[in-house]
Amino acid sequence: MGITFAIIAALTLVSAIAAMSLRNLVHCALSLAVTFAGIAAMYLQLDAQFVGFAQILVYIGAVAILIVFAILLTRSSETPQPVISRSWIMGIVIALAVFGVLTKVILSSSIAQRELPAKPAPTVRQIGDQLMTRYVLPLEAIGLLLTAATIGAVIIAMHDKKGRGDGGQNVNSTPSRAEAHQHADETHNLIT
Amino acid sequence: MVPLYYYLIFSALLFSVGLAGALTRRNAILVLIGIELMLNAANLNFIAFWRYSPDPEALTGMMFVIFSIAVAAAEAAVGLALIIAIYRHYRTVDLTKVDSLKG
Amino acid sequence: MSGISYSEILKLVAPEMLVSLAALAVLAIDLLVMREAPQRYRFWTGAAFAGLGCGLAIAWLLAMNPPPHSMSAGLSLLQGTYADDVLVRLVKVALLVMTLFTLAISMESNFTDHIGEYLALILLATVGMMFLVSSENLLMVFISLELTSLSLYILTAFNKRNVESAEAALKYFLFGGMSAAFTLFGLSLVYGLAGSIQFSEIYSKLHAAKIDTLLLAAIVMTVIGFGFKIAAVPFHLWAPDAYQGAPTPSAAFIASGSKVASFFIFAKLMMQAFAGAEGNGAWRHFTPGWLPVVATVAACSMLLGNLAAIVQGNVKRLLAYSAIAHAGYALLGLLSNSQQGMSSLIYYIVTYGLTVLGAFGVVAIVEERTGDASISSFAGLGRRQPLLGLCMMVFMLSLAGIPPLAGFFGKFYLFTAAIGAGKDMGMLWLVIFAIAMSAVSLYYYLQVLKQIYVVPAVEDSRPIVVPVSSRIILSLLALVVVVLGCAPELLLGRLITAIKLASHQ
Repeated sequence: MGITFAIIAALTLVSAIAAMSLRNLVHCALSLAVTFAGIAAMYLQLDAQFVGFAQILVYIGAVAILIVFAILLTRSSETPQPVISRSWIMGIVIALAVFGVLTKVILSSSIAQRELPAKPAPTVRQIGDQLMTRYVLPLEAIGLLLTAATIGAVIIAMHDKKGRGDGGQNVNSTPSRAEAHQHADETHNLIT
Repeated sequence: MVPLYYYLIFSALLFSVGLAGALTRRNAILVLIGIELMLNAANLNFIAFWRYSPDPEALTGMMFVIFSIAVAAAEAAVGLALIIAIYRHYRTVDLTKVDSLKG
Repeated sequence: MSGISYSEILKLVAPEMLVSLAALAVLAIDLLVMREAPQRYRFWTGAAFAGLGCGLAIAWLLAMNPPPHSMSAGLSLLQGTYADDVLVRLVKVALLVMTLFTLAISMESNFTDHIGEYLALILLATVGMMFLVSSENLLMVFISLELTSLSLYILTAFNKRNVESAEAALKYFLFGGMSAAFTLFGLSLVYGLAGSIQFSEIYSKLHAAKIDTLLLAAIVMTVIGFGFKIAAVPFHLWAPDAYQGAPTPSAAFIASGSKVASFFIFAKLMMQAFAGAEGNGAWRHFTPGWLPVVATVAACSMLLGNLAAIVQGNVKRLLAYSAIAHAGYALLGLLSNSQQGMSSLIYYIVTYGLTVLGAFGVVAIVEERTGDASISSFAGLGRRQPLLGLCMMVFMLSLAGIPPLAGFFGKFYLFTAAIGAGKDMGMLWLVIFAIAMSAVSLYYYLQVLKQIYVVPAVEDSRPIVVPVSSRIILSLLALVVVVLGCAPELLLGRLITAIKLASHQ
């Protein structure tokens, strides 16, 4: 168990660092997909199968693909490597400070020593029941959120008739967005 | 058995990697990737806390993650739409070159 | 399906449902019927339906009897998800009124062809805010916060002909996304420590135990997230750009409605989940921890907001920095951590929202007619359009806190509440600082008024023509600011009773 955790954690971490530091943006997006997969594996290890598969569907299936689309549409596959500047050092220092503080408080906290309870077995049915009862209002709110995001993303990414640009982009970008939402909506339909 | 704090420290590390990337990279798409990593780290926290809570049958943390995955997907879609809009105007997504607003 | 009745839930969230239905109706009508009509008629029709939805929701909130203290059997499962008391209803009415005014001041602008979508997104953002003020658990807080923010990012980007609009939206989005990640991480730690996401259970868990250092980290991360929403230093960087680049009505909405909702839920989260008493009695006996954090944020906001506002040449940017300063003052109400503090906070932020809506309304007209929103384009406004000049004077003086306008009493109550808080006037230093900073702020508000009344218009000194509808709306807002200043008990009295009632539940 410990070894599996170590392997998954190392893989996820290395790919996360790669996603944030590589020069070619397409490689970054691919490393990001590996990171998402690693996190999904961790969910499985924590007995949260449903969330693990939702993670694969939504993050790898939609978010990572969407990012690849954006990279291709903006033709920005090459990006300058971060140069060591003042703002770069500031960013690294802030991130290290956040990590240091978090590690310190996690280790000193009483919850670090919490015992692992018996293995729970949540069924998809239970999750669906919860969504339609206790979590019915959040479900409603998230329906509105996805509606707002769909309308907005289409409007923003769409070419206005007046402002003529190269029309090819428009044709590609709008469906990709709509697809992503369908993914998100589908996961919701799946759940309910 | 892996103790809880292994997961917590791992997610803190993931959060910091995302934060460092979001603060240092100048490409808007990479900043967005950093934000996604930070959100994922928070989700991992929820699942770990749920699994190690005294009463995992309550499903609370798990439900939270299901919702936040949907929110993150919507956020990514809106963000990438904005990035495409920026690209249309500036022909670049380099944040240092996107600076027409100044005090 | 035990313990749940969908018709009761529908009744509970009827105001939100009315507004969402209005959003869908506006969208459908605009797409199906009005597509070919002239822009003006499309806007009027859409705004009429949107207004109707908000009006019905207000009527529902005011007319229905205050809800019973405990939820009925059909809703028992929702206990701790959705609050519906007199106070929440009052804040929702204020939010809907602000939405109505936002719709009214967008009527004259023509920055977009997607009118139905624009109006629908304003309404969806309003629904997000309404859910936000009703939230009683962390999940509802997170989702409705995101619903509001996503709608506002999109509203910021709506002027597609303008480069600045897209840039403002991208910056707003990137800062917003980062702060959302911080909030979510903070909330996950709170969940881990308390084992629950409901405010009341978090309180009872955390109150009993010794303060865990991890809890402090969680609180700091949550404060970072909300600090962004209310534009407090050092999480304010997005505000000037977003205010300047966004279409003026969107900026007005970001400055008014979303501020009110975020401040309310921020105060509720801090006072109830992280410290306050629940079930009985007053909010008392705070656990130290978030107070010093918030006090630092407040002091920095007042200092930086006011000093930076002095050098601004664009009125929208000036209003952004003044908004940062006002967030600093309003945090004093949170710091006093009492019922009095809560009522003065809500009074202050609601009157501030109405004032700033009016100010943006004037800016929208001037920007439309002169082409930009720089201070110099206001020159001679007092002669070119006396009514507009007079309204702007009322709004500016109220923001500066001159009696007898609403802004003065707002500040007065905030400062009194803060002085009375805690033992031996611990907040006195911050109050003195706030008063000094208000004096500084007078300078830049008067700078705008000097342009309006003293500096003559440069070349073009023809009178500015303003439609009757805009005149009525702006005069109405100015009148509200004056009336709420002369008779503050109209709003404040209701707030105080509502807070007393809510805390006895």
